[in-house]
Amino acid sequence: MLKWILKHKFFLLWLLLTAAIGGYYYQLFFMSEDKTALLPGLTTDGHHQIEMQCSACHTEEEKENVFTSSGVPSSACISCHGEALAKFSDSHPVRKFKNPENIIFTSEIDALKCVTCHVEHNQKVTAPMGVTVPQDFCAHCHEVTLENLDSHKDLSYDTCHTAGCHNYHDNTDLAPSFLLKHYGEPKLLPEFKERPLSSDQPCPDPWASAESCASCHSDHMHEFQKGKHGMRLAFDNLSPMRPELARAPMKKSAAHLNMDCTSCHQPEKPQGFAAYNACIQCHDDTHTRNYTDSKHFTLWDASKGVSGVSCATCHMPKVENEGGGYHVSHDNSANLKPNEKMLRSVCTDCHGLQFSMNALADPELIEANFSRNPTVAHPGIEWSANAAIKRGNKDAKKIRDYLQSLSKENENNKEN
Amino acid sequence: MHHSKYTLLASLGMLTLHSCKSEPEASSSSEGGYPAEQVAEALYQVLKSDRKVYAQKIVNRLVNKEGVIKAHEEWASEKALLLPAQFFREGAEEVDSIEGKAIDFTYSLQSKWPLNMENAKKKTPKVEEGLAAVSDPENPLYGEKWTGEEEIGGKKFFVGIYPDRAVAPACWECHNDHENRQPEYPEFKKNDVMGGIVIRIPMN
Repeated sequence: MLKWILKHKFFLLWLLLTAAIGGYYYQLFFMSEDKTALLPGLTTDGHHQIEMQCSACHTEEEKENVFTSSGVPSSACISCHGEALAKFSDSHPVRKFKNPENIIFTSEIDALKCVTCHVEHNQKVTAPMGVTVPQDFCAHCHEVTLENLDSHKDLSYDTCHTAGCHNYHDNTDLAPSFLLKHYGEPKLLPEFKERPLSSDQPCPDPWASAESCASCHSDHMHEFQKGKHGMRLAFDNLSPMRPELARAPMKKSAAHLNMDCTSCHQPEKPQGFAAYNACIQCHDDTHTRNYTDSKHFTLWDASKGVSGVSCATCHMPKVENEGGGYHVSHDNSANLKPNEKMLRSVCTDCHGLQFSMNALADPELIEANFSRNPTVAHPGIEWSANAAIKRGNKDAKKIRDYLQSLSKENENNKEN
Repeated sequence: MHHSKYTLLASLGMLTLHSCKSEPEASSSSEGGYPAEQVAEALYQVLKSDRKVYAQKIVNRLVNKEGVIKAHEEWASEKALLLPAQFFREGAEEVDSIEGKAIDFTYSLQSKWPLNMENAKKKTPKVEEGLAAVSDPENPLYGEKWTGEEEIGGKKFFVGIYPDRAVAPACWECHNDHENRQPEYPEFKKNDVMGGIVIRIPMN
């Protein structure tokens, strides 16, 4: 027997190795819940929750065109992101580049395909917002604008979208006309914008389960599944999100909690629970921990969770309905990144635009949860005002004069 | 508005198809086999008419005469009307996003005096030539159409450039006062050719 084994030792070794490798892949494919070993590389923060749902991106369309396409078809991206892109009227939709005269632009950077700028499983080249092309991509088409604008002449091409200014898909927030409209606003606006909810009726079957909530609040459930809290629920094969699956810092005590409607909406809890207490059950980052040091929290606490500024005020804002009125957006990621998206939906309800832009452009202040005043001024509004004054805009000039007189007055007061 | 435009475009396409059957074949024909120049001519009539109606009966009437709404570049956030050039471009992009059109074509608005500098970059040598012809009062083709052929990305196109005139005060007032207007640009007045509608049709 030993003689036979020695004689066939290489065959037996090969057999053993084959069985071991086969067994490993069998359990990986058919038994194990964790299939991350099959991934070709780390996924982006935006997609890691659904990385095990390969078919979410690698659709039949990709398989059908495997020899002719260059990867994940744009239709796969649009199936999840299309609604959000349409909501704010995407600044660079694919249709904008279909006319053959755009070849001068598309030959530099093929804007007809999402995967030109967003490649997955490639951590080494992935920048914020899942961008995988060099950061100066705007210049391929807009260098002429950069060269012709006095205010932009000294800027480097890689700062367009990294300095809290422009956003390839949603460039509405910092449009020059918008900046100019808010020129000279004070830190706190004299009147705060109210966002009355269009429907606030009591629930007949309070928070029994996610399914029962969705039977009435299908629109909220739809939004919930678009954000990081609920995106896994959009796929039948995936369990609800749990803090232990998150990349952001979470509390260990909450690691195994399932994220669904009842995680935040609990009828026995006091008013305002869903807007603050529910969040701090799980979230454990510096920004969250510093919230109680902020004036936003002081207002919230003083009102006993009725008004003021809670986590939800900023991260699940009240958005306008098509037919009028407002509802609470349950897509917690909609205005999160880049943070300029919060200017219109949240900050400028109470604060002047300049103050809001200064605050959002200061990463340390964000970490501190706005518990002090911003110290650096964002130049965007000033640039727009300069251009307007140069072309003879009298209103802008009046505001400039007024601001300068205020500044002089402050200096004099300091000296005295 | 768009739907009615597409219906009209489709109808015109069919009419052109029928009307061209008895005519001799032109040197430039579109993918469907009918003379590209006639298809482009028909498209131009529709585009010009729609553009005139939008500028005169919507923008000029509601903004300048009755003052009930404004037209603004940031039309969505300002809850305003689209500027006429934006309205035209939105329509062009809608057409571009239709897959499998019976007649393939694209169109855009270009000018010798562009306010959008990126648009200036898009102008091919043929478009430069055509725009110069239809916009120059000294040129015999001033206010007329200019046609030619060009190759883009290895594909041949018929290209027709048709005059785009100042039909309402909203047109010239906005362009004359625009912040991007360059010092050498002319002071436009009623009926001036301010640019051209560029229509491209792929050729067999």
